[in-house]
Amino acid sequence: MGLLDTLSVGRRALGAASAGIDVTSQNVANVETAGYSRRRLITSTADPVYRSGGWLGSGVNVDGVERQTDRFISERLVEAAGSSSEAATKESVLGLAETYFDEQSQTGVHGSLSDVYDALSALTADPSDEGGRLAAVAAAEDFAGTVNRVAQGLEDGMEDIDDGVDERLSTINSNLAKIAALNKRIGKSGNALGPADLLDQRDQLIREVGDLAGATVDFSSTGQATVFIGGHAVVSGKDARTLTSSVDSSGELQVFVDIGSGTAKVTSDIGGEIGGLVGSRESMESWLSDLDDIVEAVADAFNTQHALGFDQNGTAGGDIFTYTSTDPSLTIEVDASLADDASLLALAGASTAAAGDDDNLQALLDIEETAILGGLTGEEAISGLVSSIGSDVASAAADADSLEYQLADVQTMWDAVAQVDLDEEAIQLVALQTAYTAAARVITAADQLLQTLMNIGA
Amino acid sequence: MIRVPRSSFLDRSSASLSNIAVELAKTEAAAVTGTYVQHASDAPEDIAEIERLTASMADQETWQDNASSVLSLLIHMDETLGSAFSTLSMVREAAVAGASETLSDEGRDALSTEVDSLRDEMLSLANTEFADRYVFGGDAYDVEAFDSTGTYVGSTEVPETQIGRDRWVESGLDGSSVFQGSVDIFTVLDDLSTALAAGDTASISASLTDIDTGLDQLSEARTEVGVRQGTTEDASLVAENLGVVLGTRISYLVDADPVETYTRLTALRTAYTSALQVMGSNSGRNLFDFLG
Repeated sequence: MGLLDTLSVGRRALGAASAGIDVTSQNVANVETAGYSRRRLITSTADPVYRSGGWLGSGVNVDGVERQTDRFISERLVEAAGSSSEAATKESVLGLAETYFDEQSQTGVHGSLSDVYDALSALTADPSDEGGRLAAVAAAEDFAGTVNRVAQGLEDGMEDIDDGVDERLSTINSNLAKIAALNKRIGKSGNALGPADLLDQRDQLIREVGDLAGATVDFSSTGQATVFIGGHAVVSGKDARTLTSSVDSSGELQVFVDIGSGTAKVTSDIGGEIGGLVGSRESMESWLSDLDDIVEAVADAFNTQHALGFDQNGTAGGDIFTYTSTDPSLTIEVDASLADDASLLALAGASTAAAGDDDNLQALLDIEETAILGGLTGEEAISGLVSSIGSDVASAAADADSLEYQLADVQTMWDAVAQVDLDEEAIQLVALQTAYTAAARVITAADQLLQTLMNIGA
Repeated sequence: MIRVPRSSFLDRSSASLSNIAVELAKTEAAAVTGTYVQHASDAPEDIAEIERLTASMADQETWQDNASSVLSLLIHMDETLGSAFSTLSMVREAAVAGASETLSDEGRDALSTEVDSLRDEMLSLANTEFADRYVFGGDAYDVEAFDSTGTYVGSTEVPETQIGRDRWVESGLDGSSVFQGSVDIFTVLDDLSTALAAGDTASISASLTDIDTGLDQLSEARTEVGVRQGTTEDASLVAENLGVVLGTRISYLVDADPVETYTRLTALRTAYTSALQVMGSNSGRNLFDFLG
């Protein structure tokens, strides 16, 4: 091996150390960059050369920069993020919706209906008492107002969800297009590993889509990513599809994926934040529907009985509550005439309407103990609904906790492979600095030897 | 051994800190409000019972108020019937005196006048008002029970007031059955006055039987009122006791146990502070700080 070969080995070593320092600095610079996977310089021993009857080493080769990642863990991370964000969204939205009912206080639907019965019961002490009649009408108005407030809260919440889904779909569609474009650029690189920065960008976008829509991903051996939502490939190679949403004729929110020849409904299969929002909306719709049934049954029971009684003018009772059959909870109110004139409360059993005639008042009070909906009294039905709401929210919270831990576990596995560790990089830097200094020393030594040779005979 | 990068460790610590903070906020809310159940989801298995018990407590309060109101009415009715009994007893004394052969006509005239006065007093008692109610007018208690001739113009239907679950008490009396049952007390008094004025001792003596029947009517009415008083007092006591029992049960289901809450609060605060300290001591340090 000649001195020139030694110089060459030194140069290669210097280059490798320098490249290693570049990689380390890139890792350090991106330690807080979301989705960044740490890099490692890949080197190998250069092919030996035959000199003077023996094989001598010719230094080091820089083979490339490897992105530290794990295909399986990355796929699992996208799924886990989608499941976790779906549950967390549901917990958050349903937790908020639950507060509309405010059932723990006596100001909730159950409490306000109970107040109506109490006000009527108090009237039995003197059915002709104007103050008592006004209090009973006020209690009925409070019940109607409480139901209106709850229903309006749920309606507003569902509208917010519709808007929220639209906003998220817009982001998803944008991300899907970007993922497809990145797939294309990565494919053009002709390298299965692809340019690491592009792969990071794409995988981060996929993770965001996973968060938003519960996507799954399949990374091919050629470096391409195929993204699925609701079983449909929404990104395949350089092609991306779009998602849309609309509220159908029955008032239910539906999510569709464009499949070229039309659209496919993915409402029940979509996950992530959108899945959480859609699921929450379904729960809220169900709550509102149940509330509608209860309100309708209560209002009808009161109206039917009230019509059998007589007011203080000896006239048969009119409706206590009015509502529209399409939106009972939103529209229920005390009949306008009754609200203006409490003497119209038909508490008497006879048209003579004696001051203390409370025959119909007693019959109205009997409604409290009468099964008016599915074998349940009005108060029992409300309690059942509230209990169901509490279970839904508690279940969502438990799911969110459980899936958060699962996500944390997968994230820890991903971090173990891909996350930059500054301590590790510091050690690497020291090693590379030392290697660089040593390589420089080799070159210096070879140079000095060459100088010595040059000076012979001079 | 699994590789755990520092930033990964910090992310996990941050998540743990956030979870502790959420628990801490819940526990602090329980400590401040004294209530464990803030929302239905805090106790979905108990919320239906809590609502039922809370509504039932409100029922008890209403029924106690009703009972209190009825009790005042019944006490007044009892006193009025007592006065009516005394008045009729005085009439009886007048009748006994008037039946005496030794009494002069002037004496009987005076007694007749006295009986007329007692009749007016009896009519006034029959038209007694309490809390704007003519208590002997049945459920038509907003008008006088008897007109000036002693004719009953009230209702034979009696009002009822709710004093418990499926428990009602009659809160008025049908005046016609009290003053005009087996005998019409006002007619008896009118006839007695006439007999006294006419010196008709036979009729005066005969009136004593009707007067005694009238006294029995008043006694029976008073007994009935007494029974209702007992029923009402009993219902009020039941409502009061039930209110206490219900309150205890609600408290058991809803209220935060002070010892448990403060113990947990202390533990969570310690955990939160410790987690902060650990994060603080780790977050700003890495090997680069120690390299020259």
